[in-house]
Amino acid sequence: MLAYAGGDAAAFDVLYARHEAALYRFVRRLLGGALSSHADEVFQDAWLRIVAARASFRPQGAAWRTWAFTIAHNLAMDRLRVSGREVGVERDEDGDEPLDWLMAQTGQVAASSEDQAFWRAAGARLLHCLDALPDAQRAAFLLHHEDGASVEDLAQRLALPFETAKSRLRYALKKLRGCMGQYLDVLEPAR
Amino acid sequence: MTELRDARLRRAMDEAPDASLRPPERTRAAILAAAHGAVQPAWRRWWPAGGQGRTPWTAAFATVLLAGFITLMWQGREIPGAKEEVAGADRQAPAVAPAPAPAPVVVPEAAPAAPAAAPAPPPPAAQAPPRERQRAARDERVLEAKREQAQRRAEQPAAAARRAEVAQAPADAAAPAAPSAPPAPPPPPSMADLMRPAPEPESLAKSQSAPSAGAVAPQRAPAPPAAAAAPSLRAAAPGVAWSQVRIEADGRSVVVPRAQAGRLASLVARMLQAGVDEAVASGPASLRLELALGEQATGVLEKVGEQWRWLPQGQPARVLRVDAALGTAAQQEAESLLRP
Repeated sequence: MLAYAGGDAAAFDVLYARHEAALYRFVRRLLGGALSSHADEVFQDAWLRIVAARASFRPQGAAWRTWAFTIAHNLAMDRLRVSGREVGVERDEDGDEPLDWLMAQTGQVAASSEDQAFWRAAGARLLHCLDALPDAQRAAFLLHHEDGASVEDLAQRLALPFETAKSRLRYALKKLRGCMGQYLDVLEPAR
Repeated sequence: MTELRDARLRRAMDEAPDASLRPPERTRAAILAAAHGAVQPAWRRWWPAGGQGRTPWTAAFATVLLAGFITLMWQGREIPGAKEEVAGADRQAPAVAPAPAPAPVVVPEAAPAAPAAAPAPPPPAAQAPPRERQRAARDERVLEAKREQAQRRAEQPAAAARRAEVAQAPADAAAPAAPSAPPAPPPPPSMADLMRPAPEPESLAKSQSAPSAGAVAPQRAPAPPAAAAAPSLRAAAPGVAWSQVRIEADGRSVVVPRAQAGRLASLVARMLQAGVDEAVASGPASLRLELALGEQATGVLEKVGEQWRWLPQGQPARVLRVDAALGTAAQQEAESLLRP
């Protein structure tokens, strides 16, 4: 980033290639299913904001990834706020259950934790659960899990008191675990 | 797994269907283009490499330079094809301006010509042909007068020098005076009529009386004054210009503008060109022709008995050696104008 801020355009190409997927994924998941069509625009705006603020980046502070994810988070939250997205949309959990379909296809009584297909189904389910979270809790979860931010970092980036950030994250995890349900019951906790 | 971290959720996220999602190619291209453009030097933005830029800034800059160069080239120079101003306007001004003294002959003619034209302005187009003929006749008289003057110069160098000086002003004024003539239709002989230096006729008459025979004298009489004026028409004879004439006879009086004087103007001109007789005319005048230029009187031509006396304004009177036929014709013309 410093090289790019110094005028090295090629340095930006490297930076972008390194973080394109993660940042795009983060923006898409944060916007949720209802605003998934806005993901491209928010993603582009985030990078343009990064380009414009290249001179203000200070490596002594947060890592570049944290800095960039925070920019993307703010833009996505603004978009959510503007769109008036309903919070906590209840989803119909009957019928199209990926796990049920998967078990039916494979004829397995219980999914194996090593099964890639299982994890893909679990991931799909998680996306659904994330969509159901309130925006603020979803953002806290994604920043914490996607970006690997600590609670302290989370509090700083969201401009929240430590306890508030911590409780927000706790609530998010609680809801996600409840939403994931049988997926997590099947899986053994990772060591 | 802790309260705030769950590896299962982390794994599930890593394996989610959208884990391999990428933004569209156009989004990527837009971001990279913006990033590269942000760190480009300013000159690079204005001068993109071969055909990359959509805006032809190079061509626009070259056009501005060319326009500026052309403007500097033509700055202060006359624009070709521009219409010239009306010719008469410029010449009128200088002709009217020096009214007082320098070129009294022509200038006064220009000024009175306008008022004379006012009462009876004939269409300029109709005046052109006769004016041309009159001008030609005047030119011929000028040439003749020139020849006479050359001869006189050999005999009187001093007088010739003075005539040459006086001749210049009317010569220059003659050109502007000609165009000013159209509005006022007046006899061109008027140019010769107006020129008449006061003292010269006498000296010239004396000089010419020596060689002249009877037949020659009258013919040559007009020559010296015209020659004097000769260089003429160029000569300014102060006080001889007139724009109107008051005719008085038998208790009647009438003021006639020169333009309406008809033959009388030319007859008066010829009479004023006549030589001076040393005889003294005394007695009352039976016919008076008061010549005036606007409000200013220039002279009076009187018939006293059978003689014609000329009284120029501010100068002593003298008797003119007028041909009998000429005098009679002038008298008849004046009387015809007097009649109602």
